[in-house]
Amino acid sequence: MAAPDERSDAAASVAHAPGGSPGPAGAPAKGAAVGGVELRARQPKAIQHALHVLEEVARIGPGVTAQQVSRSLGMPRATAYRLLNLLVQEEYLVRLPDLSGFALGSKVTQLATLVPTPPPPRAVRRVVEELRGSVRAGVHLVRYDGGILHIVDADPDFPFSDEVRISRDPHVSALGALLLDPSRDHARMDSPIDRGRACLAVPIRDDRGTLVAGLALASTPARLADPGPARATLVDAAARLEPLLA
Amino acid sequence: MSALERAIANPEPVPGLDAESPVAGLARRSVGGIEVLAQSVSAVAPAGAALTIPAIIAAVTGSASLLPMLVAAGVTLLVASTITQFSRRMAAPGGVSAYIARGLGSTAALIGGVAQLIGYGFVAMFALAGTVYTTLSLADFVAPSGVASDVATGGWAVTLMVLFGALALWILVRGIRRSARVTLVVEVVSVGAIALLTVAFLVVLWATDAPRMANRTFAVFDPTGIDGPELLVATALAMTALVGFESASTLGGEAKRPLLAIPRAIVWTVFVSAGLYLLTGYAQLAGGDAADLRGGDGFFPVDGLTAGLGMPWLGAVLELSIAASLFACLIASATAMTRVLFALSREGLLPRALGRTRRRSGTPVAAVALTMLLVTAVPAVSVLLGAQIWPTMQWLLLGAATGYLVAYFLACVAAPVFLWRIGESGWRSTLVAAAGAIAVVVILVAYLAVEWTGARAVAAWVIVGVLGVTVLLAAWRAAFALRHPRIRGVYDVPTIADVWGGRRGGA
Repeated sequence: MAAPDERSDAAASVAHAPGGSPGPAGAPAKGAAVGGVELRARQPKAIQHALHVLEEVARIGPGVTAQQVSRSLGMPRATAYRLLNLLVQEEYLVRLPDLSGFALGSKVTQLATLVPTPPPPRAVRRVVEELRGSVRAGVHLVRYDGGILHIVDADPDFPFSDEVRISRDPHVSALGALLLDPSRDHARMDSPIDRGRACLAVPIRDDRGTLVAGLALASTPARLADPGPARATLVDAAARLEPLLA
Repeated sequence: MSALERAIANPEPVPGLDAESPVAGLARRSVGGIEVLAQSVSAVAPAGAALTIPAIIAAVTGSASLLPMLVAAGVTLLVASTITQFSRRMAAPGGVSAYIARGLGSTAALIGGVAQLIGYGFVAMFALAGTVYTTLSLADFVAPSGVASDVATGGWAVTLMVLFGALALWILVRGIRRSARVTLVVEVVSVGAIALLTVAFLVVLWATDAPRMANRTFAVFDPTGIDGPELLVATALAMTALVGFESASTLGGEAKRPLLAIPRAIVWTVFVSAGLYLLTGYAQLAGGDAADLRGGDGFFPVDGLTAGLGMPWLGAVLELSIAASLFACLIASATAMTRVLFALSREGLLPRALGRTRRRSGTPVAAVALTMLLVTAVPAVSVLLGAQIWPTMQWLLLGAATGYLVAYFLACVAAPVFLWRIGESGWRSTLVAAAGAIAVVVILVAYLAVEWTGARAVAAWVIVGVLGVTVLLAAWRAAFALRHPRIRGVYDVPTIADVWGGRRGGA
């Protein structure tokens, strides 16, 4: 009786592995494992198509039908149906109660942590490192591509209290506050996630004045009570980063 | 990835969802993929049929050909593939009747539901009677005391039926996770034992007389060795050994990742069962005199097989594994029947009590109790009234097969309509469904034509009568617009937690 029991347990845990270990820690290992698998000639295309389908559902929004996906992607209907069903079986998508509409499954958020943000150019890192050496606070650099906060260079000595939440919810950080109101010349916020922290952020803009990135100092609320001197240092560093990022 | 990232960062609200699924109460997402497969395989009970079906086919058609089994496997795959069109898209504890409801509506679903209940119920009764029958003949094998000589009737059989029925009731009440484990273990052991012994038997045959075996192998696969009508009748009989493959669908409310596990289990069950039948059929037909099929008078002619290996004690091992397999079949078929009763209760067609579940185990206890009461009472009363077990089993199987085939036919007709309704129809799925529907009708007619004139004519009449009454009832409901309650085919729907950006429904 024991042996088959163990077998099925093992099978169950294998079946759950793809969804079982979210979070940044699991991400690099997973990427490596996928890279290690030898892909046959047709598979990369299929994966590409599946991602396009996923993206199309995200773009059109909840309730999109299989026909709409196939039409707007110019994909043969049978292929679109098969890929949609596969994504539903893997639970990246769900079929809505009417059975004809699709929506993103809650599992898609796991994809977000799997997509690595490319490391910034060396010149950018040098400026940020220099700043980190000159202030007794955390220094974080983010970009605002497509209206979303992407963490580009988080200070390893002063890590974010909740990286996922900060990148998703603009209301919980000074860097998010810049995104909500791009016209501001700085933002300061006592962290609602961690009472012992506060943050001061300044914008980095391109030639046309569009917000492209944000530079922030993370410290305690007391130290940032008078942001004057810290802000001057930040603005100075931001000015040096501007030609490198915008 | 920008659209996807945007959607993840700022989820668009998905309206119309609830915190609970309409099939809530069952142990949602608790049964693993392997156990789902075991549910379907057990309902087919290939270990029990593996040794009998080739013999029955050979006896009825007088031909030693594997062709009918191959054709039956092909037809079953057409039906299975059509049924997975539904099970990839909706996880419905009502199984095939819910599928029919989504394609053809309430009236057809009522007919399908009755046919399905006949299928699962009668196979469960058949399996209970078979467990008792095999246990008694096993007892006779171990200690020849004449018990098996009156194996057919008497108090022993009824007592054992009640005992095994009570055991099954206990296992089912403890919850789907436990009962699925039981069926999994039993099925692995029994199918494994029979496959292993058959392979060993074949190795011995080939080692002793290879040229003769080569000749016989040719004859077994010779397509000219059987004529048209014979092939049709034999295929119908072979198909009755494959019905039940879709029963995994009734775990729609309980399987983990149901839209993946259930279609996979359905297709693999056909492969496992048909593969085993082809293996044992080949061994018995090619083995010929060495595995004398018609000589033995037992229900399960294992004597020829084990004598051929020179190890008659293996007969006891095989009988034991067959008894266990039939018991697993009882558990699986009863499980399927309770889920259909549960679903029809949630539809409002049956009393509400049948749709209630125990909080801890998620077992629909009232449905389980009703199922086991019926499943134990029918064969027990039949034996008490003086019927012998084996004939009783035969008419139960006839009824079950008829029920299954009717449900399959309706599902094959419903599939293209369903796919068209949700805007996902395609010529390939339509073609497969049409081929499946036509093949099932032809097989059903051939099957009933054979049974019509035989010893089980009464049973055939009764089954056709029950289905006929159902058709009339359904037509009457439809004609007089008695649409309350309608069968909509309840299924597990995504809840707020399953969807990124889910919002409570009500709209």
